[in-house]
Amino acid sequence: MPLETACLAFAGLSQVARSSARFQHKGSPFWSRGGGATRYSGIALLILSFAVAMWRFGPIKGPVAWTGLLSLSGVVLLLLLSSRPRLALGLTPLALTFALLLCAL
Amino acid sequence: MTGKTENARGANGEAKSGWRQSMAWIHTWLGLLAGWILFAMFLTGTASYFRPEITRWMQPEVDIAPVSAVHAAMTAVAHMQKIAPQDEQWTIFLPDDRTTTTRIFTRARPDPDPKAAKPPRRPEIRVDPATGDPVAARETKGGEHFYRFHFQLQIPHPWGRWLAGLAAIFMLAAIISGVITHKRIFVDFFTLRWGKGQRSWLDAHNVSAVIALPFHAMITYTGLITLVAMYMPWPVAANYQKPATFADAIYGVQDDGKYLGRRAPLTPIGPLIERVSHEWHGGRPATVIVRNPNDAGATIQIARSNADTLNARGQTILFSGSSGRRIAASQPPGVAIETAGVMLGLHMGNFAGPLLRWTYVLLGMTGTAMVGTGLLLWTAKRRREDVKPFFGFALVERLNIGTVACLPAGMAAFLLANRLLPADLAGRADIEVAAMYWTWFGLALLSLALPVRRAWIAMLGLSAASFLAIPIVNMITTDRGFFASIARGDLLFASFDMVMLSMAVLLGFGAWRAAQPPKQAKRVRKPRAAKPPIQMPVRELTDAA
Repeated sequence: MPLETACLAFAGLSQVARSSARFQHKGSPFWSRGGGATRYSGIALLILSFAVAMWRFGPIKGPVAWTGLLSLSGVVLLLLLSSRPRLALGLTPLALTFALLLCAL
Repeated sequence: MTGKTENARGANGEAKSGWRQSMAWIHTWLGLLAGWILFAMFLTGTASYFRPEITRWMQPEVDIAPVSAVHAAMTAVAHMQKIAPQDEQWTIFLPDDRTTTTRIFTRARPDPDPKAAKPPRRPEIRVDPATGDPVAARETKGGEHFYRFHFQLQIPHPWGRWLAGLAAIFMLAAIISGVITHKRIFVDFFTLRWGKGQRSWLDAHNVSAVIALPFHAMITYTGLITLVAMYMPWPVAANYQKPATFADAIYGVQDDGKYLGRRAPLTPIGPLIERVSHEWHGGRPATVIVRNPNDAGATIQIARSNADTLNARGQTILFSGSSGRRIAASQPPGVAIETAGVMLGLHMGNFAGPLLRWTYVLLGMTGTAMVGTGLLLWTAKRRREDVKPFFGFALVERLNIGTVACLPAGMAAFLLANRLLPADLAGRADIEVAAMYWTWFGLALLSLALPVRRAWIAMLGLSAASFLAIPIVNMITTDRGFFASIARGDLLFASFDMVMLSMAVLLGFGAWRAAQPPKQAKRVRKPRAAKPPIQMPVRELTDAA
């Protein structure tokens, strides 16, 4: 099942969320520190997820699939952020690893 | 900055504020008026993305292994040759990955005497694609019921479709006005705070709307456009004398085949299926229409499946039924028809594989949540503990309970009735449908006898219990219960039970939350002068609600 688009979108959105002042706290790992770099890395991951969607679903279904999976990742991230924000933001490396594994398979 | 500029900006700001207030008013009232219908349309429409799967679950006797399209077409035609060789038309829907049986509709040849009555409509025939034998299964409307309800609302034609269209227009206006109203749309993207009363409902409404906004906008607009010729018939009426002329102009003239009255054997269907698959570069045939079978003027029209394209209007190829000669093929559609087909395809999601279909379903659930939270926000904003509720408020609150909490119980009752009614009961398909409405409206009436909070708890709890009962009743009444399905590797039945359990958990969670004593919302801290945190837009709260 081509879930890598959703994983990359989740990672990208969580990076964008992390760059927001609301989700920053002391003692965060390096990837969770806010600022422009985090936001840009999030945007880069979102662009990458779009490229992967085009690759997996083709140029016709790709944009539709990307929009849907991006929204779905947003719903999952938001539900996690509202109850377990540290867990939600800490899932970025896992989501990226999972996406890489799925792409390699 | 000069005083003049400040005045100009102030006036501009007030104008913008007034504009936003107007949009908030539109958003509130259009959303409320259409909200209950939209909730039902969203929930049943979401369910109908699994229309064939629901039908398969509702006919547990049918357990058929898939075969090739060529074989299915051959067995179907052989069956029709046995039972209705002289009919006017056979319409054969070939099985696919999601529908295992071959479905056939046949139309008797009308009496040439113009005074004779029209032949009665024949019931659908289902055959095993492997053998061509009729499939004996319980009578049910299956997933088709939810699909039809979501745009016809069980109201006679054309009023149901008109009402659904009106609700869709309101929805579209509510989406546009909601976007204009919500000025912090990106800042609030990740904001969902639980247990804060009205603010939580506002957050839930905002995020469920914003996160899936492309889906909501797409599904509403494409739903409306799908039936636009019905809602706005005047452009066609102004330009074409008959609707059929319009259809011919946009889809091309259909060759209906002339009945010549000379007997001629029907050409074998298998080679034709292989030929169209080759011509479509592997595209799968979905429908075979045989007109005037066993006559010298017979034709066979094969339509392509739209499962692999966004366009819901597939290609067709027409053959002579007596010689197998290729007569014609559908012309590439014009831009307008292509666009209309893609919009229909986007709405119905037939192109979607399992992952995208689940995405459609989960985003549909988000849309349902958006409408539901919007309805609840309306009452949360106006609730005053110390004042007796006015009539409009009480009405909205009771309609909210009747729709949000009782409709799921009705849908569960439809599925439970399928298992609890005797399989050979006459008219059972209609009784299943009636069970849904009796349960839905019966519970809504019953809820009137309870105080509001207790009504929410009871109705959500009953809905949860109804969904929980489905896998249990399925396990007791069929041999395709959850564990048996897992053992057999039957993912459809196992997944269906899991979805029912998930619905039970979701509704049970809702009942549990409703049972919690209401918390007083904490006071909002005053913003610090030096570095203000994210300001809670008090005005926005008012606007959006």
